[in-house]
Amino acid sequence: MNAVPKMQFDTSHFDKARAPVVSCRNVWKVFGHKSVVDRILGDLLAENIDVERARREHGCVVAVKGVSFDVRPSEVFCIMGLSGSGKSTLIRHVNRLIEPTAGDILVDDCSISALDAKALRELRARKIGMVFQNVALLPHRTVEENTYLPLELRGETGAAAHAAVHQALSIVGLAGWEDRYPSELSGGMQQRVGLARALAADADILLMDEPFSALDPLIRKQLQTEFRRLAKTLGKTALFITHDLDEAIRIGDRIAIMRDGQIVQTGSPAEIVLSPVNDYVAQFVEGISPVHFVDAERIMVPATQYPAHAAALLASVVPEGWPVCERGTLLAKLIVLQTESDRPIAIVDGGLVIGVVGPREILIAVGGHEKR
Amino acid sequence: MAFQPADTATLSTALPARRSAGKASVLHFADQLVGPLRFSAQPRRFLLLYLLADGAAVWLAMQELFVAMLVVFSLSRCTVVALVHLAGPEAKLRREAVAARRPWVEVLLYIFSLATIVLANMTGPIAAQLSTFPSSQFTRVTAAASIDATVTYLTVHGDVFFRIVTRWLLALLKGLESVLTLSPWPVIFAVVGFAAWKRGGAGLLVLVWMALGYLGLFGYWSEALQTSALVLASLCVCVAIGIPAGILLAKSPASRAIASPVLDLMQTMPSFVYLLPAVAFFSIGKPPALIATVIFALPPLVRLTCLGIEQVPLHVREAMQAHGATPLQMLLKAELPLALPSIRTGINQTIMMCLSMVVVAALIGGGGLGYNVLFALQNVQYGEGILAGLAIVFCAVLFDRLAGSGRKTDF
Ligand SMILES: Nc1ncnc2c1ncn2[C@@H]1O[C@H](COP(=O)(O)OP(=O)(O)O)[C@@H](O)[C@H]1O
Ligand SMILES: [Mg+2]
Repeated sequence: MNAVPKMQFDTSHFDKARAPVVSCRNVWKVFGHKSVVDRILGDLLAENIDVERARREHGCVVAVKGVSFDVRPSEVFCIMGLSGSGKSTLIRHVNRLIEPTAGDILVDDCSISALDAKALRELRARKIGMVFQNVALLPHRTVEENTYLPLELRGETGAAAHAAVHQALSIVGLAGWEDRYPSELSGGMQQRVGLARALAADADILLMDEPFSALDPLIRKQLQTEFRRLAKTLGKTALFITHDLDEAIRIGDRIAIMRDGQIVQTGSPAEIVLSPVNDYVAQFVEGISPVHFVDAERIMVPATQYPAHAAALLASVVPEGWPVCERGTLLAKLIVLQTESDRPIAIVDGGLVIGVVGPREILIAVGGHEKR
Repeated sequence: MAFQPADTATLSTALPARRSAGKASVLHFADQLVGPLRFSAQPRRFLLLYLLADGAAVWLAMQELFVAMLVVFSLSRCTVVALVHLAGPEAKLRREAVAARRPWVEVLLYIFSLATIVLANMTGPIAAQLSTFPSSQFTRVTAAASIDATVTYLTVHGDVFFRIVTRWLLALLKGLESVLTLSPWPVIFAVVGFAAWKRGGAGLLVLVWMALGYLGLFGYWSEALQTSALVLASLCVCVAIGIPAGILLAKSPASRAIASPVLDLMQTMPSFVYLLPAVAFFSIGKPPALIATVIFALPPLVRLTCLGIEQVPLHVREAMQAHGATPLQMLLKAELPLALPSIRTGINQTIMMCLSMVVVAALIGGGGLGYNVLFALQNVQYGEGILAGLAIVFCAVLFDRLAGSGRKTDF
């Protein structure tokens, strides 16, 4: 049963003024012998051949299957999928470590498939940093020399470069470890070096291919929090790959769920958890607690649902004893407020009452369902 | 009620399955007896066994040794049955056999081989034709003559080239030799001792001084220095050629396809065979000895350099690329440093192989300790020969411990 509906990418919630930093347009990647791939590509695009048949009869692996997405400036965009769903293959298209079989990738509105070798190296050295799951540090270099690598590769020496290296190392909390070798560090620290290496290059875009997947849960959680804080304070645009929905929710501004080379749903954590598009996504979000990322605006109901107070509420007068909250208040906070008061909560925005959250709305949201 | 049909269904499928399994194993045993002629139901992995056993059986029959024939025949069948049982579930083999294309070529090969064995063991002109390969003295003589002609041609027309090469090699050798012979023996003791001490502490220091002491005390000092100069010069040439060649091989699969058989040839061709052409090109003396040594000792360095670069993990390459490395930066900053342990092993192997060529090189004027061994052999002096051989061994120990692969790790 291949009933994954083709997700039409929803552009309605796009900020039109800010052009996407990274944009994938219908990207396909088929692994296999070149002549065979060329021969069957037309049929694959026209859906005359399915993935299974391409593998069985032609020996080709369709790793990425018509993927489109946009990453907006300063956004952390997560791609979540099980292993083998094509995440690593997809992210390697963004700095052209892998060439797409079909489709186009734009970075800053400029197609990267048109770049020659030199321009591509420039792009990789200055614009796009990358962090790998297996860290990929050079074992014969110290922490400092590893961090210095991207600057060294683009020929920057001298005081400014060394200052950048030290700053990157102190940002990730590794000041004082400069002269150690990677083999002397724990996994978490090695991954910090990987991150420092990407930061030292001062790239605007960070590609993170399951950077924390191999770490212990505690270290992982700590690094996730740190990474999100870093990305936000430094204003980096990040494309973050993970197989862990918890991680995606903790880190991502938006999440794309990937399955068998296709993106099945894209949206904010709240959208994904509260309204999964199909059973597959629903399976993942089962058991994810929404209390830390669902806000009041998403679950509130119009004042008309409370007829006794509707008139007052519509005139933005909060009835006696009702708690008041801003629209962005998280569900966790609403729960606390609700336990302290037996009245519904009025949701305000700039002094105007825009809706109401009662015990029923809270329970429905905690139960993991979208309001009806 | 509702479950009954299902139950009978499982029963009725289970019973025939078991029965057919029993029949299959009997059939299978019959297949073993018939051998390759029933190949459709045979895994073809036993073809060679059948071929050898049945060939031997036919030959024995023709010598009228019928009991032996029967023994061979039945033993081979028993072996196959035993192997099949050891190989595990019969079903798997059967599936394998059925999945395979009907092996007509194998069956024909089997019949052809048996028929030829029968024919070759009868009397008559055909048998005579079959039992010896139709060789042609003429072909060999012309081939050898044309190689001779090529060598002569090259000697005459490549004269200038060979003379330049000879001059360079001689300069290298003389340079190294004079550095070694001009250092007084206490200096060599001190320098080598210091290197040994840095490398392996007092134990290695004692070993190294004992080896040097043997060479000095038994009067092999200057010969040992000559040999060392030859080995070091060969090593220089090997490194200068071998490491770039190894890099090229790692980078280009096409060059690997070409170079691999050439490297095999260099290692397996008996070195005496190319001593003569080397003398023809470079005249007698040290340069041809050096060339012969290089031919013999180069392959491991090329192979290990290539291997070391190929073994650089994919994720390291990806990281370098992702940070914008040029191919040259990739080579210098990631590939060569990570291949270094492998290259070191290659250098160590090359040194050892150079030393093993010392005696052969002495045949064409390589001099040094090899000449002592040769001289002792020619005059049937066992004692002298063994002592000179030991001197070569001690040289090898010195080189191995000092220039060796380095047991400490740098990372
Ligand atoms: N170089 C390659 N050649 C052939 N198949 C590949 C190659 N790289 C990845 N694949 C296949 O593409 C699919 C997606 O792989 P990958 O992108 O690594 O998945 P993920 O990172 O989500 O675990 C897998 O089925 C994998 O076997
Ligand atoms: Mg992956």
